[in-house]
Amino acid sequence: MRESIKIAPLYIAMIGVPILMFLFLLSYVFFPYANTILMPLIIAGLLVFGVSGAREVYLQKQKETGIKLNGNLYGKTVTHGGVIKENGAKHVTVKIKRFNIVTRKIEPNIFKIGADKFTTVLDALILIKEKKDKTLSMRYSCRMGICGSCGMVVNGKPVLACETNVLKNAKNDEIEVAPMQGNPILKDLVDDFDDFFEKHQSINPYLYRKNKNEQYAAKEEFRQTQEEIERFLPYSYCIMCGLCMDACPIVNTNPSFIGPQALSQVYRYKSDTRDQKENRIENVDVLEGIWSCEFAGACSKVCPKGVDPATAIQLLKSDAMKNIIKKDE
Amino acid sequence: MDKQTYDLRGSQSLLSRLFRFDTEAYLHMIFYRILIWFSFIAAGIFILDYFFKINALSHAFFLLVWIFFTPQVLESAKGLSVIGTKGFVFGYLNKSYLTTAGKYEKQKMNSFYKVLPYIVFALWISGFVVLSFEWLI
Ligand code: SF4
Ligand code: FES
Repeated sequence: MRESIKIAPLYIAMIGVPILMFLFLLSYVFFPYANTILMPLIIAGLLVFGVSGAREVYLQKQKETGIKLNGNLYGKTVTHGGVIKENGAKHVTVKIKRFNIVTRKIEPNIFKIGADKFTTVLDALILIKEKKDKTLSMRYSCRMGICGSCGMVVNGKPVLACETNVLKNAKNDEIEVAPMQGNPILKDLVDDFDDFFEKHQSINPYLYRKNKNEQYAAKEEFRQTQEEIERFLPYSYCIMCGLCMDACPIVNTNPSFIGPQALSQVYRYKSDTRDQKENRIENVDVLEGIWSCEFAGACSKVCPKGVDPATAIQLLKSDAMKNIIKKDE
Repeated sequence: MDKQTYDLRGSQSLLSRLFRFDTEAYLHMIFYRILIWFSFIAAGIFILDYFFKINALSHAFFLLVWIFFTPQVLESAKGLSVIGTKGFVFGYLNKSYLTTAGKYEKQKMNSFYKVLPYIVFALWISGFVVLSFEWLI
């Protein structure tokens, strides 16, 4: 991890102040003089909260990267005419907010297509690319929710385009498609995943054995009970689509946060009985690691595979706390 | 030629993206951001109150801090439930995994963790009501 600032007092203040406020209420009702002790503590807690929070916001501001939109998110509307007629299809307006590499702005293009009940957003985009605008760029491969390439934002929600039905999601026969903003954008609907994979790589996402023969030329299998498998199984379903990173409000506001995808993989490997890598938790027990997570939970709500990164991060926090307590004993 | 990318990340205004797909998270984040700055003012008012006894103002600020802390309190309680049940309660784990792995989980505790955030929330709100009655009415 890049920065090694240990647990911010913010988190202690976050828990402490509400508890003190509640004690204050009790003391207010039963022991009026206890207020004199509790009130200064609440004040101190709030100050710590304010200072640490402001510092966090400052750090985020400092680490801002890339070019700003200057409020002009929508650009000018370019309409491509014509209506494609398909058998039994309904006409749908697809508003594609694409990143124009010339103007370096996100601009909406409007296309009309025919969509039937099976048409996915990815089908619609492929149709538009084939019949309307050959310059439209998007990334895809499997078309069946396996490869994780087609992550984009449909009607404001990060989704896999190949798993999102057009008619079910169209509002007033209109659907809006935009690139994910949790990663830098390359062109149109295509994100650049260099930063994403760098973060993924930084957590050593593989099973590690101290004995190199066991790692690269194992003579026997490492047997696990069903219960041991269940400990890490859902976290191993990650297809690296990046939807969780796009949904995460912290990744959006502070690019140096390692993010839910990499952290969920820390939990996946540290829970695997075959793994012998030490310090997996310690490496992310820093401000830009688990402690940047504010438990908004949006990452888990958009994950198409049920990896639940938010749960993984809270479990990592609890393990980190247990480690500290153990060390102190 | 160097790859040219366009990075939108880094602006607090992006928090508003949450509004379209996760209102709960949106409120949580917005209240938290307001609270950071508000806590400075509140602490200042409490200090002044300590010396000059500006009771009405400090009471009003105390109650506002109480309101702004509400999403944090609720989410912290949910966080505890998530940790206590390893994501079985208030988590979003893979559905087929949940049905097959359910047998390894402590079912009894799960029902406690399901209601825990609501109990904490009810206590928190009752605290607010008691103080409001005591101070403002
Ligand atoms: S955790 Fe889920 S949303 Fe995030 S990259 Fe993996 S599969 Fe995609
Ligand atoms: S194209 Fe592979 S997941 Fe959508």
